[in-house]
Amino acid sequence: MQLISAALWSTYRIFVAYILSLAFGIFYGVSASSGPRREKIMIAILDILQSVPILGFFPVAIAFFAAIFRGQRIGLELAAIFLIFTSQAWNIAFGVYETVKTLPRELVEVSKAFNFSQTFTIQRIYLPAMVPTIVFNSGVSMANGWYFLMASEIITLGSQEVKLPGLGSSMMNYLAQGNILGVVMCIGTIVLINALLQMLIFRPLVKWSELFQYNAVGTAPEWPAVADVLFDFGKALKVDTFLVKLVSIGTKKLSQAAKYAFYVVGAALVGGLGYLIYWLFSPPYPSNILSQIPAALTVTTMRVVAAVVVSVLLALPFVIRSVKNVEAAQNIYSLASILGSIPAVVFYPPIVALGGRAYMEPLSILLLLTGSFWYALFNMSKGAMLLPGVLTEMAQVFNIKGWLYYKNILIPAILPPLITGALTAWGGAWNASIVAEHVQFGDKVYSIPGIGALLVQSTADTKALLLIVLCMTALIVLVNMLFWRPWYSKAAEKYNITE
Amino acid sequence: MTAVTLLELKNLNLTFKEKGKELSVLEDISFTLDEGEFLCLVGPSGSGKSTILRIISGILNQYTGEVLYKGQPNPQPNPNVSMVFQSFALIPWLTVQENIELVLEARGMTPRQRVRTALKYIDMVGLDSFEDAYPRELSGGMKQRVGIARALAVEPEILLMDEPFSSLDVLTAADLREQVVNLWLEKRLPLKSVLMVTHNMEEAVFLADRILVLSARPGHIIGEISVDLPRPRDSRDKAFEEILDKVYSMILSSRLKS
Amino acid sequence: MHKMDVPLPKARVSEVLGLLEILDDEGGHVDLYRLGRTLGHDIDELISTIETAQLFGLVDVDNGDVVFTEVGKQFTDQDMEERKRYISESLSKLPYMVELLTALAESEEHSVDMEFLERIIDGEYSEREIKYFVRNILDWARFAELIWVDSDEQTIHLETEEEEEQEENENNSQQDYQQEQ
Repeated sequence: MQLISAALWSTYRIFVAYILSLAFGIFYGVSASSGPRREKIMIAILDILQSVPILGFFPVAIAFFAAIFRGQRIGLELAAIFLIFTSQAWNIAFGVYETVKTLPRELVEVSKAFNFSQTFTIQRIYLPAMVPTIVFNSGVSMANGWYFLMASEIITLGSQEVKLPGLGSSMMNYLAQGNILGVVMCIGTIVLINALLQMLIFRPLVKWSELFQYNAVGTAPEWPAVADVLFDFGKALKVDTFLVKLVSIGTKKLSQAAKYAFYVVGAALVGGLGYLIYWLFSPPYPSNILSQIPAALTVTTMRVVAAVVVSVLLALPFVIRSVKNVEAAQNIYSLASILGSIPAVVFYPPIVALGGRAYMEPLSILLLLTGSFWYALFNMSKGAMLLPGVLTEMAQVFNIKGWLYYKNILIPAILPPLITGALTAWGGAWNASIVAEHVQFGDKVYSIPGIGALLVQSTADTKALLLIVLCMTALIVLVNMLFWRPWYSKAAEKYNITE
Repeated sequence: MTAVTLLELKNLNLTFKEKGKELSVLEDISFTLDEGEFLCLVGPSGSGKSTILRIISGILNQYTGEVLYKGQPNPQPNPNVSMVFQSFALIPWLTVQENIELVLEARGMTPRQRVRTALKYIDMVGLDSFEDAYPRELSGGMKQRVGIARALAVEPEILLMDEPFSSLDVLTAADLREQVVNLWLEKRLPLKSVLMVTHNMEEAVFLADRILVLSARPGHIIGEISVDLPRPRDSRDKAFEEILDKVYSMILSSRLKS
Repeated sequence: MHKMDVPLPKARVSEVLGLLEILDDEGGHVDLYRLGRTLGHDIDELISTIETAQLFGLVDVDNGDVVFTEVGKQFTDQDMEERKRYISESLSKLPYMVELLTALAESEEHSVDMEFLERIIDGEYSEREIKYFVRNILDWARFAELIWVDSDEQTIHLETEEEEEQEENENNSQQDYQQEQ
């Protein structure tokens, strides 16, 4: 009984967050694609938001929501939903942005040639065109949401720990009591809910969404009952009119008044941010923590880099195997996407407790791997499926083997997805670092120095906390900008297999 | 003329399984490829003609029957056999020269030899000054020239060509066919024989000394036509058209009740 | 020979109609190789088109020439309604079509699922070939107005007067979402 209510609580949070993410993603995506100036600013902001280690951000968000609602339950609920939202919204926004940007010109021209009204154009052209990306990214977002479920339900407020009812907090309780059966039941419930969502909703919808692919050939996909149900439901709640409004507001050129309002709000935000930074860098400094940041950041960076390298190396044999075997590739692909959605954070306490203090260092890298490996495997196996069979045949005919083959054919072919995989693994490992360096099991605390441990230890001091998150984010954004981004665009151009 | 037999296929059979069903792809394929011969395999899709090339080149090996090279079992891969692919199979991130050097490196050539050989064959197919270009900068016809240069650069005795002109537009294909005829007639190469697969009957009559006609699945040889016309050939020529009609009739007679 | 002889329309409706037009223009007979040249020497298309036209008794192959049959000549001069009636009659006699029509007649809703044909076609065909055959059979049967296909539900239905209306209604209700197609 308790399990069911916990499951309902968790599911409700994830769904509320998801619906908010969807509305936000559609609005932000169409907005960002409706003008070159907006595009530049909004995509840059989205890039930064995507790089922020969500879990590190969380204590700040809680402090914010708790302050507004004076510590009432509703504030904590909102904080939890906000955390899940931040794990779901960005990819939807990116997907919508890309779809609208690449919308076939002819379709837009049709709406002009036949003099469609704006509402009609949005309803019949823009929204249907977004269906594939929304369906695909919704599956990804759901999995992400479950991954952060645990952390969202246990909230540290100052010295006080508050638990929101849900699967994540029940699992923590069971763990603390040493109730293995309870833990297993919780994990089982999560897996069950996920499997049901995938099987009953997302798989049929992904297949169906091919209907909306431009220039598709072959038999039309089946119209699944889920789609009908969703459409009826949406009609009853007037979701369609809401979406049309959302898109039309998002694409609207700002009126003069709105522009001024926008500038005012923007100035206020910048001012607020400026004040925040001023406050952060003005005395009194939490100097004992501040002085630890460089060293802590360095150790954690080394651990994260190790996790990324190990993730890529571990994924490589699977990828090599799957080059010649399409079936194997597909299996690996779907396995990676399912396993990636299991909130691995769950397993940290028992793993660490079993391993013991002496092995904390390698164990922490192992923990990072649970947050990074799936991303590497997922993206790299996607790349292996792209390698054209004729190139492997050519290698056979001319007897190109061993190192010559890897150097000239296989590794270059999978390099763009490999970089994407490494980049996402890098983000995942940073996120995991916040929970991997400071683990509590029962009344025992296992901790190794690092930025994650530092962060967890300083949740009571908002200023220190913000400084830590700021440093982490700055580092991640900097490395993304100076290293990953240029490397990827160079590789994507040179090693473009579809040329 | 008594010709030396380079390649001999004896009772080749191939079946593959799909969802528990056994599908016969090749049935009792036997033929020889003689020295100095340009042989064409023609047939509809599903006749397994490309499969035969893949068996000879060592890509496929789950067949029954024998493939003999100069009377000995055909080594896999056979260094004296080289291949031109329908979709070019060029590596997009290597330049024209690097694409060719790659296969030479696989043969264990020194860097200096590689460069010299690569440039020689780039020149031969008329692509000098394109050696630093990436495949994406080349037209389809030029890509296939690179494919041909690469295949010739390993100096094979037998050249396998798998529908080499079917990814090209009509005019480009006509031009490249002429070039291939010229290369073949010059006899400057160590190349001794060509085995080409096509589903274009006119192309076969234009190029081949001998045409083997295959039926659709399971592929087996239904007939042989020799083309005893002087090169270069003209497809509007009366004798040419007679042979073409013969090939068409043969291929259709196996399928249609007349 | 293997089981390649089970009569199946292997070419699309438009290809066969095109072949008949060419034959008509050429005065009722044409050399195979010249026909091949017109088709850009695509031997697969040539074979399947001639074979399908032969299946319906519209053309014959005679000594390297493709020629009209009596029926084929008549067919070419007829209007679309008459052509459809003729195809409908000869199509209904093909073994796989008989099986499909019987199943449709016996089923309560006069419908079967899309995989029905894929299940009954046997012989040495690969998945891809079977998919291709099924596509063409459906193409012909829809042309002949023997059946209609509901892609959303993935079902095949017997074409009758009332059901024609029903089809229209169904289409309307889902048109909203499909217009961009």
